[in-house]
Amino acid sequence: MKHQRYRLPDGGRIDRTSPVRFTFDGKSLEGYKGDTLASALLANGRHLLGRSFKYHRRRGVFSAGPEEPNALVTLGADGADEPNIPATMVPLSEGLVARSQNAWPSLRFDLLSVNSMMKPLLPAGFYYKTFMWPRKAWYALYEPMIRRAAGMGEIGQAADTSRYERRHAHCDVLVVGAGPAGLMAALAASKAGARVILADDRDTLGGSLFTDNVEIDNQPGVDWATRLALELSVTDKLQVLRCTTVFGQYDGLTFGAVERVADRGDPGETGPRERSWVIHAAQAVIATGAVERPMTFAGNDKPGIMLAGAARRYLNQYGVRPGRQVAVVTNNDDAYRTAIDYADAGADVTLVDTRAQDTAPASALIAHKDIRTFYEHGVVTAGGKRRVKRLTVGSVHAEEKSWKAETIGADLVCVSAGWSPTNHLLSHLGKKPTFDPDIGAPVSREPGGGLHVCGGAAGTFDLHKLIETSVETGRKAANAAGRKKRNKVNIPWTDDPVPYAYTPYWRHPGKAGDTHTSFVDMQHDVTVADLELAAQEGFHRPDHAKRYTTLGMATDQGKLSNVNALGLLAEMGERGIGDIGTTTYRPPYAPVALGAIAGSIGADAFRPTRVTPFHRWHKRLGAVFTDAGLWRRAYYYSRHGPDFAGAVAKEVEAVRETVGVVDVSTLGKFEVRGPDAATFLDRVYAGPLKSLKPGCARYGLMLREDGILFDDGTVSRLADDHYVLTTSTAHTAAVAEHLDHAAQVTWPDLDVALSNVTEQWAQIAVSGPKARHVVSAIVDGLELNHEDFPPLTVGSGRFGNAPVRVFRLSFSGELAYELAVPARRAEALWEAVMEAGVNHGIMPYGTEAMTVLRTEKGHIAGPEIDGRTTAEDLGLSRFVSKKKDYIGRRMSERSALTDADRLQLVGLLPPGESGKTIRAGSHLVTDPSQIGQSTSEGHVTTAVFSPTLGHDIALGMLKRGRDRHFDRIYAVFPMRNEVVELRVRDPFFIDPRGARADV
Amino acid sequence: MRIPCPWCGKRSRDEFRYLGDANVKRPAADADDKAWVDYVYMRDNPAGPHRELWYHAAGCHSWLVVTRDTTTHEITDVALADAKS
Amino acid sequence: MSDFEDAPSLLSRLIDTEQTGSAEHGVIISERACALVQVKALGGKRTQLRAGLKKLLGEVAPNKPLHATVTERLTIAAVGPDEFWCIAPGEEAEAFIEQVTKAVGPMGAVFQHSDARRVLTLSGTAAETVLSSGCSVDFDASVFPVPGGCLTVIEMISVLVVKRDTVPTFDIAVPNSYAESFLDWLLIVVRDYGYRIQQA
Repeated sequence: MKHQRYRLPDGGRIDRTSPVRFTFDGKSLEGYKGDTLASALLANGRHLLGRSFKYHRRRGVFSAGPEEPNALVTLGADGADEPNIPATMVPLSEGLVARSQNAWPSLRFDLLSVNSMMKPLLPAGFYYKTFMWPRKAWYALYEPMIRRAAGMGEIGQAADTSRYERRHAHCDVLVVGAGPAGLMAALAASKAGARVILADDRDTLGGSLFTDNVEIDNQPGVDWATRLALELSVTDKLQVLRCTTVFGQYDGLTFGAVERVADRGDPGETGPRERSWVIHAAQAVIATGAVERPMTFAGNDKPGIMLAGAARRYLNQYGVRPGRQVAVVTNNDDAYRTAIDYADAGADVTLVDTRAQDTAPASALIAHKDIRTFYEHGVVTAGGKRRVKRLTVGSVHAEEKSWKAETIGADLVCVSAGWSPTNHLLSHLGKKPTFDPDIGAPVSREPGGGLHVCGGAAGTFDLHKLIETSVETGRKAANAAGRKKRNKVNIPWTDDPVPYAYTPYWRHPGKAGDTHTSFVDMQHDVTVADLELAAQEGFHRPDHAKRYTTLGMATDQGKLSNVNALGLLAEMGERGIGDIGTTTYRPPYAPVALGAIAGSIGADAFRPTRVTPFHRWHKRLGAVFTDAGLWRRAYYYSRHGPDFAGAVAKEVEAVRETVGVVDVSTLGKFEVRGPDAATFLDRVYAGPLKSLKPGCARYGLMLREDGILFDDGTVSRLADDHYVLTTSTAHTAAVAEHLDHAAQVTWPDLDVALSNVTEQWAQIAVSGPKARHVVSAIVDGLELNHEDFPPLTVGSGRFGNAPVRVFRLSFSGELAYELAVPARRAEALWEAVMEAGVNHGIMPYGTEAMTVLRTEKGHIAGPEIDGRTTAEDLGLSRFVSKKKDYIGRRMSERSALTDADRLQLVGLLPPGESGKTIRAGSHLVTDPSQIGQSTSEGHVTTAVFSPTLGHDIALGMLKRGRDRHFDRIYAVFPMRNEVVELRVRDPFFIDPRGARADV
Repeated sequence: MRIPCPWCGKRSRDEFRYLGDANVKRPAADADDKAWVDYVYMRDNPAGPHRELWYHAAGCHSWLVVTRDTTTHEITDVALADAKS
Repeated sequence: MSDFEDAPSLLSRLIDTEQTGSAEHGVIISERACALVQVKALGGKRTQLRAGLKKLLGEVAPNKPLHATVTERLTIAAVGPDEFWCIAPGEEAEAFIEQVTKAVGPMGAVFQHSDARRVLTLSGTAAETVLSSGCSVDFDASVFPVPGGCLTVIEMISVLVVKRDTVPTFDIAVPNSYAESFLDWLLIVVRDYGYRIQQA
């Protein structure tokens, strides 16, 4: 193995004393600490790094940053691999394993590169046009074929074992980007007293100063930056986030960022691999710099061609000289830095400038250098098979028929078509930048809304001006956040010999090069020919052309291609580039691992769960649990029977024959106090409540203001100005909101105070003929016999040294008491109840038995209160007052809600009490041969097997149901081809007069 | 999105529940159908500043009148709905 | 079944000395049995209510949003308009609510929440960072009062948070039903910062 033969003997900001071994495509290679994967591969002469998306063309490193379209690699192995990572952003670490993508069978010999020869057959929009018919072939043939050929890396199939973390952060000023602009803005904001977060996507802070040879304060710019970064990192109230990509701006100056903790390779770091940040900023300074634009010419994607700034960065930061014979192709002065640096590094340099020499101020700087120049020339074609070997250049004055091609030998071509501000974050909320002809790119200089912009991101390229304006911007942002300390910030002295001037140039006007190999979006293989086709077919607006050609829709989000596409489309349509608009940037700026967004919470605990105070008892008794919202509730107890049905039957039987106990702690519980409590509740509930006396309870319905039933529960008056309400488990949060709305918005004049006390009380229902024996044995201070404590009585007693609230309420239809004790006494209460009931054969029952019991009784629950039913529909009009105003009264009287044709609650059972199974959700129809939406007359809401009756029973909603008792109806479930004949009846399957509870 | 609750300070949007137009007033029980339909159903959908009701469900449980620009989500004013507080 | 006589401490499933990393730069987690009482002013009589509290509890109830009064024995936090939460040592639950009810009189409504919440204390230099993993409230001293308290959510769980001091030390009152889930979350998050469990 030739050892890093493209590495210069000295120079660069790498640590040559720390070699780092890594593997690429199975080959062991070596680089240095401080390298990126891209720089290490270049140092080792690996110019071919991948195959392109559509045509499988050879591609190498094109950039040195997050804009990289070509050098995408898959990291890791053994199924935990992560695809499509730009090698330019991967810090080299010991043992790193990477491989190339989208080549089959191998990178050097890729069979699918025949696609490349079929290019004229695979134009833009070909997906829409070619594979339309026959439709079946799309799924069977076309799609698998295209997926195999196109596409990028493959995601690992193994679970991601990396750890992630999420964090919120708050600051006065968020500074995004730590180049010279971001560093100075952060310094200035901090000096003004602001809490600052400074984030940069690289490990090293200094931005372009790693690329450009400039002097600041009499030292190399990069040394100045490193020193300042160190100072900032120990500044109080200033947090520096390295390796952190701020990927999105959201409403209210909230930013999303991901910190690649492991990428930093900090010694002793035991943190997560990545950490996602939600940054809440009062103001934000966008100092994200600028991105260089590629030159568009035939073959402009060949390995060995890269951005001029990137080539300079590889030389200056990493000491890598990827070629000896260097051509610099430009329309601006910045690329002259590359020509100068490579000439100084001993390369043989040719400069091709589209401009006349007298419009290129930097030309003076190379006059005394050994650099060959072609002014007023542009590149027509790049040649070379495995990598670039030569350029064909010609005069840009195409109208002069006499232009003749010249050929330049080059193994490294450095291109620059100008610099575009990186303004993604500025436009994420829809604010469009405006096109600035002076720099040839869209820019937002006055973004407003708490956003500030400086440096390259504002199109400011002069170093001295950049530093001055960044200090000003940082200070302004701090002031806007209310931090106005007047500490002085010294403006450092700068020496940057290269000015910035630019002349628009989008492609060679001679149009001699092959437009099918003139790439605009390299990652998605979109060419000039594709854009021409789009324009020709009328898709000349950028956002239309983007969708037609897929330009800018790859993982790089068109960082390199968008502005060039604007220029080319404008040229094609012969319109001003400022007039055709721009495409819309959306988050994320760069791909984000889903794990980082999920954070530390794994799949098992992604959402919290709630358990009742009796949970340990349920577990001990072998309860099988069911999810009810976030709650874990005891569904049934497996020890009660051989199977689900058997256990439930036993539990129901216990309640009907002796006594059972069920945990009802999940019911919502609210206390209402205050002088106007009675009036308030009278307006909130449909039934009359003013007449409710202290010590009494009542079943109550709440309606929505539109007249539909909202929730049912109980209201108990503990004292004149003290009530306790129960609500259904699922509606607790909604009821809290509803009650607070009534108290604060609708009737703020009422003097009431509400509190959600659901968590305070552990509550059980003890039900069955023997319930009184059990409850009397454990409650002190209350007479619980029928005369003193009739149904709908509430009282406070003692349970040991704790208070207990006793409610004579029955959901099951049996003699029943509900007991509530402070939650900490829950387990003692359960134990006491079980002990008191042991001689009566007490049995705990779960939510399924509860459903069976209430269905036998015809009591409604969630499936019947489905947001469509009224009290009248459910046969509950006796709980609705006609004499008072309350929420929902007025609208419940409108004709649509009182129509005789409405669905009404009925009982349903198989004729002859047969063993047929009824399925909840079935539609009810008169004629089972006519099944359809128009023939449905209702549906089954609840269906259970009744152990008491020995067959299935169901509740349902049926059109004019109350008039159709004894009718025959069919329950149909077309998805399973089920038809069950049923008889309609009243919903009270047992004890219709309620005698069992009234003893 | 952050909503500056007058009591709790700036809080993330996920602490709040949205209801809608804060300008509607519950009519008298005997008001005509139109008044009730307007109260229950009819809502303006302005592009621009809008007074709307938000509930600080995960905070102080206050109903708030938030003036929000529906085109930019900029919040220019927040007050407790219960004026007596 | 004697193990059910008292509701167990939330932390009892953990080993007393359980820790990872250095708690010195991380956090110490402990649990306190607390009596919690919610007080809401009635009839807009907030001022009289505060006077009543001062008279009977001997401490001034804070008058500014999110401010709290914190002593060794007592915490009073102004967590909402016309709403205070009072926290005292756990053994006093019934006596405490009686005392508060008396103090408040007709000026306020008093609600017992002593059994509704578990109070975990998170103390140490990393406490704020640990909270920021699941909570979006800005607890920085420049914004949040010390002592201070608020109602918010941590990892989807509604909590009452009291920042007691500048260590910082946070009391987090978690609804009973969520307490196990909350602890599961907390133990995942704290391991990166170093922590120690301190049993009562």
